[in-house]
Amino acid sequence: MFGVNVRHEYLDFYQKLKPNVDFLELIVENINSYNDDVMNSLRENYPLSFHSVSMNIGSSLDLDIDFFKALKKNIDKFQPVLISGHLSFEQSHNMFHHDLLPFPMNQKNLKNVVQRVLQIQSLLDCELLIENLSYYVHFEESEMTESSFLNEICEKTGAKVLLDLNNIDINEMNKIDEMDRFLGELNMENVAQLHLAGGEKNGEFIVDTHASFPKENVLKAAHTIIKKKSIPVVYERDNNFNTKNEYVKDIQLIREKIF
Amino acid sequence: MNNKVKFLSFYQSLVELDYKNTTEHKGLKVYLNNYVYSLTEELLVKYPIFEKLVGADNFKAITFDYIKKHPSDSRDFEDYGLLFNEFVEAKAVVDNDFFFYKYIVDLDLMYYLKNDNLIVQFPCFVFKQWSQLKGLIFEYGSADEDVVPIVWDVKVENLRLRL
Repeated sequence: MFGVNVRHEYLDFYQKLKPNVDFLELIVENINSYNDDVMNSLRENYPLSFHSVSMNIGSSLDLDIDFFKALKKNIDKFQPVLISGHLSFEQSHNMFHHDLLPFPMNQKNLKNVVQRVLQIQSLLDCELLIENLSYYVHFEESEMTESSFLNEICEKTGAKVLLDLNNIDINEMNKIDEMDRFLGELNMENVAQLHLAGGEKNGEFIVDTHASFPKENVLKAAHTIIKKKSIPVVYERDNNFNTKNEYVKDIQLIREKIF
Repeated sequence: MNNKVKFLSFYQSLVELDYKNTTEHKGLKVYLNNYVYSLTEELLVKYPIFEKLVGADNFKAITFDYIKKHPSDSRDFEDYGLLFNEFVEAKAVVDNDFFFYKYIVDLDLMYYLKNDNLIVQFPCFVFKQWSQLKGLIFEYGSADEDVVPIVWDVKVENLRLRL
């Protein structure tokens, strides 16, 4: 299965032109901004997957129960094929950061994240997919790698991994981690979905802006994984769009390269 | 490429929007910039005429001040910046340069909210001053009263701000 993320600007495109994708990935936090007609139209034409950018999985604050109750209602209503969040925190005391913020990978935080993932899965009554991050800092308090941290979470909660290959590639380019090391350590049995995207240079760093076509090594890694295991793939594009025609060509080219 | 940072230091820098550690921890700047950029873009969506009038650089400086004092308290971007007009109005009390802008930000917000019930009162002389602002073509109908109540539909039909 191959899908793309939904962009506000492209709503008419998905609804009227129906691009050659098998499902659409919706940002959970955007759903309320789509009216019922839009949501029903998208759902009639495609299966949906739900992707959250504010579950706050890595935080020590209490979970926002109202947020998860609202999400559960939407899950019941639109029946997404997958539900995913990030291995990050996005909220601190009275402040929303609008970013996927990292935290130290250690036993103390592992215990916290495991409890939260179990609670989220209970609230949503489903299996959660957790996405790896792109990082721009190292923490003194980290004792584990992200890949081993994800392995532990999956083992203890039954959650799965949404493997963002672009994030690993960006971490390699920023000399934070290495793709071969990460993929060698990650338990691939837990990987239930792939994300593909492209970043861009911003100062000294390559930043995960979803603003370019995926790099060849990212597509090759996706191809290798998919050959062994058939899992859904999403091409994420949020910035630097050209034309809808070029977007359609990109989608087709990625499909040809990875399947 | 990056020295290891203590989590507490990282966290405090984010909450306080403090760039002082970014020389030692360059990656921190990516997160700080992303936060500021996201919220500045949202303020631009809500206050576009104000941005045109003060210019992009001044807009960034003023909004940075606002962002530092008013952290985002909602997961929804659309909730951010609804107090920016009050922030500019407060500035106008102590800074004469902002006197006319306080009406512009009200107008910007009214336009964004499409609020039929919101009434913004403009002293007539403000209209004349606006018409002299650089880059602004301001057209308005005749108004004999000292204070003209402007509601949404009046703004759309009779009040035209063209940049």
